[in-house]
Amino acid sequence: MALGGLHHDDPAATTERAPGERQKPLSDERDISLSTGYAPRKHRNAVPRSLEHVLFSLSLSLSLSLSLSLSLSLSVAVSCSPAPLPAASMTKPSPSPSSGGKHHPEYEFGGPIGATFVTLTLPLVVYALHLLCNEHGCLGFSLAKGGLVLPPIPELSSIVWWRNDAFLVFLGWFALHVVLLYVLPGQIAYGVASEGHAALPYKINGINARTQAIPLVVIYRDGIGAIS
Amino acid sequence: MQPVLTMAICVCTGFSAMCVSVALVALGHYVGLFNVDYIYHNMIPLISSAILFSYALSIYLYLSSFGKGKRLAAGGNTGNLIYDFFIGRELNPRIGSFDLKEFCELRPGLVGWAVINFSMAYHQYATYGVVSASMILVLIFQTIYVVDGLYNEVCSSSNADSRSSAHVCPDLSPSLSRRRA
Repeated sequence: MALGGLHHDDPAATTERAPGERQKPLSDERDISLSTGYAPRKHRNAVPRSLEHVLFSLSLSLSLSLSLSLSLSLSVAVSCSPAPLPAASMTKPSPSPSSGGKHHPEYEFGGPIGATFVTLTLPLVVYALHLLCNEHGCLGFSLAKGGLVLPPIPELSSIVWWRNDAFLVFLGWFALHVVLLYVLPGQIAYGVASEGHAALPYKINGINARTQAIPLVVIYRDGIGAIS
Repeated sequence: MQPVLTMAICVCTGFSAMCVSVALVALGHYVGLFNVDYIYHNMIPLISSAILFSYALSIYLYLSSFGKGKRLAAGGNTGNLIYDFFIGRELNPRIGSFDLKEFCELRPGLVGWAVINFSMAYHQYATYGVVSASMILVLIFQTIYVVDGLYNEVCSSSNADSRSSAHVCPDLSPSLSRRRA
């Protein structure tokens, strides 16, 4: 694997910038990663299993296709159109924290409706991606078979939705990375000072990354070697 | 003058963090501390855990953005509760020096993705005695994506691209936007 080809040339040189240097404001900057949550689905005993199975599968596949197409088309259409958003936000003063910023240039992701929809259905999509493509088959489409063809899905009541030890594993993994963030060596660099805010310090050890690629390759080789 | 808003996020130990954590997982599996098969068998509870955790974290982030001295993202400060919650209200939220956005994007998520992939491959091998070609391709390509993301983390963020429209949709061209920096 040609890691050298992926290497960023000189990170420190491009990272540090004179505080006074004019820079186009990133006022359209936002986190578009979809962090949503959803409480584990409870099994409804009252509904017959087969009916529940169909309903659940339908809602999963529906929400899967809908939210994927909606979020993809909206995000591509709105956020990737080159100029309008930054240009529009350039002409308006950035809302100060105290003003509450009631005015807004444009909504993305379909505005509040799209935001609600994605927030609520994304967890379903995650479950669906896991359940609808399993070792017995994958979700398919066939006109001859009347549309969506579902693979065998385990009975919902037989699925273990929640385990405390799994939650601990998740937290442990998260905590491990918090520890690594601070334990691993790295340089400190400073970012761009914004108006009224001091430059924030950054820890950089990416320069050493080329040397650290070697243990990675060893892990890679041993990992694949161990598996195959 | 416009306030200069930067991404202001970079503790670039991502690549070494990946090396170390993957090595720890491999070591733990090797010495029998745990079995990576656990991930395969407990994927649904792990998904539930991640969903609950991210929901809780999102609510915390939304609420904490109302604290004093927070820098707000212009696009996420509309006054509409659900929209601001969804887009993200505070710009580059930090707890002390701990930058949540960069951290959550790169560390547990991306590296965890690679580990999950290898767990699935391990289970396939343990069950069928073979790792399928498609599995190997998934492993290769997705691991390249992960390594590329962490390797080029290198603090491209603060200069990355206020100019480039590619940065506006980083998911479509992460390495491209980073390389331009």
